[in-house]
Amino acid sequence: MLILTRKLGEGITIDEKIRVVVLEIKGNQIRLGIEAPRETRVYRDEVYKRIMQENVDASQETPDQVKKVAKLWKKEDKGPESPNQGGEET
Amino acid sequence: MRIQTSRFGVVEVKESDTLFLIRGLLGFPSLKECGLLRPDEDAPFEWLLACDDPALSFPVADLRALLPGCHPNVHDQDLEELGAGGREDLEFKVLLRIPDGDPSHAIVNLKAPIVINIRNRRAKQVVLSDAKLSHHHPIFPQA
Repeated sequence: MLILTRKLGEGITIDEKIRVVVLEIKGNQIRLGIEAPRETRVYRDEVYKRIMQENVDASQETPDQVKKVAKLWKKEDKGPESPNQGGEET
Repeated sequence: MRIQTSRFGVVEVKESDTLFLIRGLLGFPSLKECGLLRPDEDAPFEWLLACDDPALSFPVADLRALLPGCHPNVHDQDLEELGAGGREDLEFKVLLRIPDGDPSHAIVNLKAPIVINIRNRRAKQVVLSDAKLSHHHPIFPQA
């Protein structure tokens, strides 16, 4: 990892397209300003990691499990008020 | 299009059910060409199948069918990136999970839907800033 020391108001430029500036230092919090091309995706680490983990978890599900969800959904969706409610699937 | 999968064997997917994830999914950057398989026409659950990796697939739900009142607010730059003229061109799929293997606990990730431009089948997973949207939205009312 490249480590740089910056003061308030100073910044770094990445790849000539992305600029990160230290805007404010307050206790153990630092506010960063990020200028990047529109297509650059910038996430807080914890947001990125969380969604990545959700995706990984989803990829572990099995067709059998999803089938059970579908069955339950059809049962709930075609609730008692539905005119064409069918009998229980056999 | 034929897709080889480990879960469903060889699957034939119509052109209209393919999509191109311009940036992959978060954590799966190389997942680009995909097909959607709906094993049960009477339920809004589908499988997103990777064309290049038989082992990789994700259960998703069609948001409009699942939650008809939910219209996520997509940024203009996402529209632009998908080549979409307007929000009417968009369709949303949300990733499905079944915690503890209990179908009544099934949840969808409303925070990070896959947005599809139905006109050109370009798609991307977006992260929505709306704080009301949950990573773990329960499909069934919880007792």
